[in-house]
Amino acid sequence: MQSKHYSDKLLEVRDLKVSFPTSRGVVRAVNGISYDVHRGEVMGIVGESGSGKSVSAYSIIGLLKSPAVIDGGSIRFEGRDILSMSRKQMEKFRGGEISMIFQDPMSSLDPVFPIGHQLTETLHSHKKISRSDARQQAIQMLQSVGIRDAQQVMKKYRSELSGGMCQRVMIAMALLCGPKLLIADEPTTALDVTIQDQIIRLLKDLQERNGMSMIFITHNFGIVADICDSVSIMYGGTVVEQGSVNDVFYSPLHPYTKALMKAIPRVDYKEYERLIPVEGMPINALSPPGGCGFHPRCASCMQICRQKAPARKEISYGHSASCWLLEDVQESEEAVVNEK
Amino acid sequence: MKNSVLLEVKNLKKKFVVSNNFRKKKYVRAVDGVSFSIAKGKTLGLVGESGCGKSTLARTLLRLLEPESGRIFFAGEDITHVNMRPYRKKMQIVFQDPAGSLDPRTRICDSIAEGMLIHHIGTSKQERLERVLQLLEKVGLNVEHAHRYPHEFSGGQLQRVGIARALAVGPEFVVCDEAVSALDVSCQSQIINLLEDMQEELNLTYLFISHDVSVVRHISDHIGVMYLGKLVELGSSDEIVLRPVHPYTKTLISSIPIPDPVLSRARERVPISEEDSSMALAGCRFCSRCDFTKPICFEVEPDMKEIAPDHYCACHLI
Repeated sequence: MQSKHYSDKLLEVRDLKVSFPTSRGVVRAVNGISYDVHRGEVMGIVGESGSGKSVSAYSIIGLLKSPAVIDGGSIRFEGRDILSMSRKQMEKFRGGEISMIFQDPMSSLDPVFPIGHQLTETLHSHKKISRSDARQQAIQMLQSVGIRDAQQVMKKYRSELSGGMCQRVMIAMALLCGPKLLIADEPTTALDVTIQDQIIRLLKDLQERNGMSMIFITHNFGIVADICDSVSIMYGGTVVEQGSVNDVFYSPLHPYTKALMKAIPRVDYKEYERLIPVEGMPINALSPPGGCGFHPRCASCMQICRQKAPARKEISYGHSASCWLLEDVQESEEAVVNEK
Repeated sequence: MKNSVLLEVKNLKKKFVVSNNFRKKKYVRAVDGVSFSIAKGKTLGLVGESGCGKSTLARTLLRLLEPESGRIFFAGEDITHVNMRPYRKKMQIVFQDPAGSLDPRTRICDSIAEGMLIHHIGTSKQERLERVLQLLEKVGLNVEHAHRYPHEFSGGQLQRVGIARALAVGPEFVVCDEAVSALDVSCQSQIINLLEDMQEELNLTYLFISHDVSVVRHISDHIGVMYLGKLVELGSSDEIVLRPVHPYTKTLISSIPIPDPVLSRARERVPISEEDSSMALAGCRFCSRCDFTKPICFEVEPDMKEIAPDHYCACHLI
């Protein structure tokens, strides 16, 4: 498998900061993250719950609910600044240029309207289109997401469909207006493994056919390995490592990434090996540790890790990580190779 | 598996009423004739899609639900219809959601000690508290955690409390019902290791239920694959994962994404039809989704057959 090279940037997130003021203090959910998504690229965002992966995605599509505040940074989509858009502009933008599918397909569909109504409503709100045309397009879209009896499904209600079917309907709805970017927030977490596999293959297939870009948020390394071109690993509101899937999986740089790789049980191993867990507890969002956020759990923590947050460092083309171990470039790179 | 069997289940059935119109009752056969046994000190993993009856099976064999028919043997004794009081302290369960299974208004030391109080373990409050503190240390928590409330803990820590609570009465058999499914990857491995340590130290027997085959393979000696209330395949972990026989198991195993870009993309998938959980009245339950059906599949329900030493499968194709 060759890693692709992209020239055309679609989305550019720079130093994004999002915080939630709460009665017990300010929670910095996203603390200065930057990434690019190119045209036709599938980027995975991996992280534990509370690492800020969903919040960063919600800010791209303008769905952050109060009390969330964007403290700084910029998000540019095809050169346009998303954060300075008015509500009206954003409404046109959302669903038209960028779409999103969510974790729980059941609760994202309205229980009191038939599926067909909800699909055509999306079309009417974005385009001037006749009712019969809208219906025709909706049926076509349902067929393209693998629903055979689309005519029948149009008349059905949410409660009459299974979880996998609902997720297919959600995908159809998200793709109706031909978005350039699709954000998928853990779209298969609520589904069974066999259905999960069908859905991710469907997404990959549609993505390739329409040439759209995708941000795939998940905590499942297997899915990332399966369908993503590049991946960002998040921990405690920051991106700790970023690169092509091959780089990140075969030569991880950050101690957190390395630790996670050893902590997941794999179905394909030959012999039993005891797992090596990531010690310690996830970050407490109200009182994050100083310096590098991962230092309390890091096996190779140094003095400087406790005092200063490390800067992002690019080690090879497109592969970067934020860790003090990488700063002593020559030596630490050796050490990384040895450890592997 | 024959000698020193701790738990044995024979043809266990459990059905629920789903609709009750005047004369006609409709049932869902959640567990429909399941048989297996677990040897002492071993782990049986149970996998299957949601709604296939994994949890109902676990609850029925613990007699938290009353079985419709079939027998349950614990350490050689038939416990299908007996008073469960003396057996409760030997059989415990760890639930999926640790926050939901602990009383939010009770300090965790009291939650852990409650079982001991009921089963008259320890004579004084002091003695019980000491045992609680020992347990907390054993599951990797600190002594000062004892007097805190559940909301003060993280998910991983609460699952440790849940395990300590189950172990407090000194069980021989523990059901782990999706015990690590709600946890983050980094905590998941901690809890898996803890469960393995406890098994070794206390010679526990586990029934480990999960939809995550990777985790089940890691922790189990044997794996049972369930489909719509039936066991369709049962065998040693390696047999099931490396040499699956039943079409459903094949699909299930081939659907699991592998955290390795080259291997994951290269793996061969066994196709399965779109979900159609309608239960056929006769024949194999899987026939509506199976790509390899023969006429007999729609008429006769297949029985479990031994196809290799210690590897059983219910399918007409074999």
